[in-house]
Amino acid sequence: MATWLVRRLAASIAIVFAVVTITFFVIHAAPGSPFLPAESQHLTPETLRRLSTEFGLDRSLPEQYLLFLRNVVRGNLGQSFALRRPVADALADAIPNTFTLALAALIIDFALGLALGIYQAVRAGRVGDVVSGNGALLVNSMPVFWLGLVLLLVFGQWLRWAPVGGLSNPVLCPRLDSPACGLDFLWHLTLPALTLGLVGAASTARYQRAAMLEVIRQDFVRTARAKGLRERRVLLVHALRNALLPVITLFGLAFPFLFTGAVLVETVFAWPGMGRLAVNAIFQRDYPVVTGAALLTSAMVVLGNLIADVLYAVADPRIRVRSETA
Amino acid sequence: MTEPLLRVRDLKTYFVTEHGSGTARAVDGVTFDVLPGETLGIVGESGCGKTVTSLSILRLIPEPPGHILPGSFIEFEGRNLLTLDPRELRAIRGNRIAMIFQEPMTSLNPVFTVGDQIAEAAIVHHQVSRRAARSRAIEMLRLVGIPDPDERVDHYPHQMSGGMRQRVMIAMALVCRPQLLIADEPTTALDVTIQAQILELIDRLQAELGMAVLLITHDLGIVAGSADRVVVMYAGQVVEQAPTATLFARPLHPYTEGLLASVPRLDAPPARARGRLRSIPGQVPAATAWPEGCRFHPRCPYAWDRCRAEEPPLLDAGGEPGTHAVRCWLLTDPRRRTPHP
Amino acid sequence: MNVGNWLALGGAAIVALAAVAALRRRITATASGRRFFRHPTAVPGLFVLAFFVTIAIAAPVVAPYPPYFQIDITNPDLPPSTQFLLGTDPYSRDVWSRLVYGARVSLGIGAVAMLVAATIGTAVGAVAGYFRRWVDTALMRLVDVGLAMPRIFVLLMAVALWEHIALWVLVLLIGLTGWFGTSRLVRAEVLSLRERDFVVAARAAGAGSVLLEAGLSFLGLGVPPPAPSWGNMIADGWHKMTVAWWASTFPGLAISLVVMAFNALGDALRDALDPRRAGEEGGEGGGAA
Ligand SMILES: Nc1ncnc2c1ncn2[C@@H]1O[C@H](COP(=O)(O)OP(=O)(O)O)[C@@H](O)[C@H]1O
Ligand SMILES: [Mg+2]
Repeated sequence: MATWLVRRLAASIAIVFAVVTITFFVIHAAPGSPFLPAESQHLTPETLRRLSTEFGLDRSLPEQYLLFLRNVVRGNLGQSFALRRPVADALADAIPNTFTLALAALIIDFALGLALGIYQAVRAGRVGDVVSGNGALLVNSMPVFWLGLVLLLVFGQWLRWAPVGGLSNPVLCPRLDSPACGLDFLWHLTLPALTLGLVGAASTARYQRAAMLEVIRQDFVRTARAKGLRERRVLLVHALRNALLPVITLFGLAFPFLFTGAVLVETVFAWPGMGRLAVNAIFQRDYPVVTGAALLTSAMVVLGNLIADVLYAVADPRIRVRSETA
Repeated sequence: MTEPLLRVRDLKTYFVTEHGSGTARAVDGVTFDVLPGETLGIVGESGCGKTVTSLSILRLIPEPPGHILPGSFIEFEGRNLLTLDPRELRAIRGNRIAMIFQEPMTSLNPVFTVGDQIAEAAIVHHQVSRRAARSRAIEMLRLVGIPDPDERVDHYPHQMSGGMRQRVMIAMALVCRPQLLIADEPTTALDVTIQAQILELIDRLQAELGMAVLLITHDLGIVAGSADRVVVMYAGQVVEQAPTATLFARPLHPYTEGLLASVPRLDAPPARARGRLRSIPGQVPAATAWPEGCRFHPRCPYAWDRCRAEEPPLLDAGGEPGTHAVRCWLLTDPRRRTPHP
Repeated sequence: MNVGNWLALGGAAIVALAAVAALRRRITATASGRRFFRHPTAVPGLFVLAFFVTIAIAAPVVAPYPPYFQIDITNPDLPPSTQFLLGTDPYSRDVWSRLVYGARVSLGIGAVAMLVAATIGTAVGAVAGYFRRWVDTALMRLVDVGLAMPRIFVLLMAVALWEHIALWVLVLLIGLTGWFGTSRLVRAEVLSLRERDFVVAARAAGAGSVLLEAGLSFLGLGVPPPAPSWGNMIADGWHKMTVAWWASTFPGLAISLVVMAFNALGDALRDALDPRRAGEEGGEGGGAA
């Protein structure tokens, strides 16, 4: 297990390294000098000097590459032209918001998706399965930002059940410093998280249903019934434990979906996260922010896959035991 | 005469197949008894409905596509299993009647230890504590001849060989001391040497625990060594039924003859033993299209007009009353027992 | 909408139905063809796609106005009526007409991107699976890197770097970033190349590309406005959603329908090609946006 983990970890680091390298060359493909575009008049001469030494802008390309690597490792992602502050600082402000949104969406995604998928598999072919199955297929096919717009229109504008955007009420709760403001924050979180979570749940449900159906027709499920177990125990213990294994893979796949979706959903709901930061940066041609966000997102995706692999190994005795003895 | 433990009457289990090909009459009017403590063999080629028969007894047929027709009757210890509510049925499954399956490689749950899987039935049916159930599991593993049971109890199925897993299946089936064990081709998936060991084990445990065994196989050779009585199935029906010795000495149905001829026999004259085994020409038809008349007639060397037109009933073949029955028109016209050219 | 448009619309529906019927006659000769049409979502899915393809081709007769035509700029945001089937947008353009012309852009992007992704993905996967050893290792590490970078960020970087991306470059980029998953599937199965995995992969690439285009256009970074892509239409109507919900709602519905039809067809095709595994592997569809 330990060797496997080390090898897996090394592979992940290698991938992130490759992404960093690609990012470096993308920055260099940009018109003008990488950190000194036309907009650099925004920067003070002092900042320019600092950037120049930090990123070695006057040195050769290989040297610049090494400096870039060193800076990335140290968490220095360069300077945002538009925001006039280091990219890392801007990202650090936005990340918690994106994480909260992604986490809430992930919970909705899996809680709803697993429950629905199990329900559909148990009722396979009956009305409940067909109706919810086609519903899931439809939601799964919706552009996530459009679903956000529709939910916003219906629940935010027409019914006025939910706020129309932002992190919290700017007048009453400019910062999260009281329990009431905590609730206000959750209230603002509901619609964006639901938007992202619903689309994810539709896909998770389809996956879970298929996995469950695949397991239900296996011999050991019949064995469990022949033992005299309750149908609930047969399905929710014997079948589900096996059907959750492929879903762990889905957990890894959820990360790219969540971060991609976050870019769009944050824009719809004016949610000040990493995605919105990146999108705004593009319009200002502030590409150190864009590449920084891309880099960070890729790292998250790789981390998500790593977590999924480890979970899988822990959950499946066939892998766990083999790698222990190996 | 002793009361039968299990009484199956006119069992019909059909499957509605998807689109076009019609209804599969997998089991079509099967009748037999199992007496307490005896071993009844059910024999027939693959596709004759043996598995469906055994699954029907515990109502493990997947519904849909399958269903047991009204008019069927399965009585166990005086109760009709087909009318029990789910709770009563569960109290019998794994407790009074247990089952082991053909495929030891896939019949155990891969994500639970064998100990947990054996203990589960004891916990569910006998309300014993987890610790007591665990020691019962260890005891059962020892009983079925698994070395180092204290250690093996925590192993997962994939860490065991096929023969070991079948022993685990037997341990799991017997942990509640059932009155009836249904063994559906318990050795088909195993090596020949392991086969003999498993059959011996079942025999030994049957003697120790005093249970009845319904031993299902496609191999008459297996039945010869273990069963007291034999039911021969073909095309969803019982075609012959007799005490084992009678069946081997005086097989009356041409299908039984054919099956017997394809068993390598140690007591047969050397010339025949060395020669190629005779087997029955053709194969079992699809359950959606059983032939008209006698279902065996297209493969039967003796078939004549009547066999093609009329379906024979189960006829008494003499001997001790009610012991030997055959579904064949030859019984009414024995002179025809000479094969066509 | 004038009488001619209505007739054309009805004609498009009939043509779509006829196309489905003709296809059905053609391919029910084979067992897998019959299985395909037995799938409950096969016919509706085919019909939806055929219908949108037909109106895209016949856009000039189905649409009452040219896609850029501003009817009366002093009086925008008219609700759906018999004259403006789906209403008019904040720039006083007929939503139905733009939707019809938008089908050309959106379906075209989906088709081309799917073709590019499927071709490259299959080629790379086959090469990796066939040569094995270091070729395989190198290509699959490349795929790992490709899968690690969310497509939308790759495209955002590209857009950030080259100010005005031409439409064909965008389509190519969407295709070029969509083949990683395909190649992995194809490689896994290359020794026993099975059609069904190709179907799964192609569907994911196609549906994903349509959604990705919509997302980018919505952000204002995709198809350059005022071209009538469905993503652009949602973006155009977005800020006046409260007064004119129709301008953004209908194009979103069109995307959902087309992607759903795509997914449904993919399901049916996959099950038809491998009946034993019917109903497996759910949602690869919504992964991209
Ligand atoms: N789930 C099912 N669906 C449709 N037909 C089935 C199903 N299970 C069994 N059958 C049919 O029932 C017949 C008997 O099968 P089975 O009892 O497994 O035979 P055996 O165990 O004697 O080899 C076969 O022809 C098979 O096609
Ligand atoms: Mg069988």
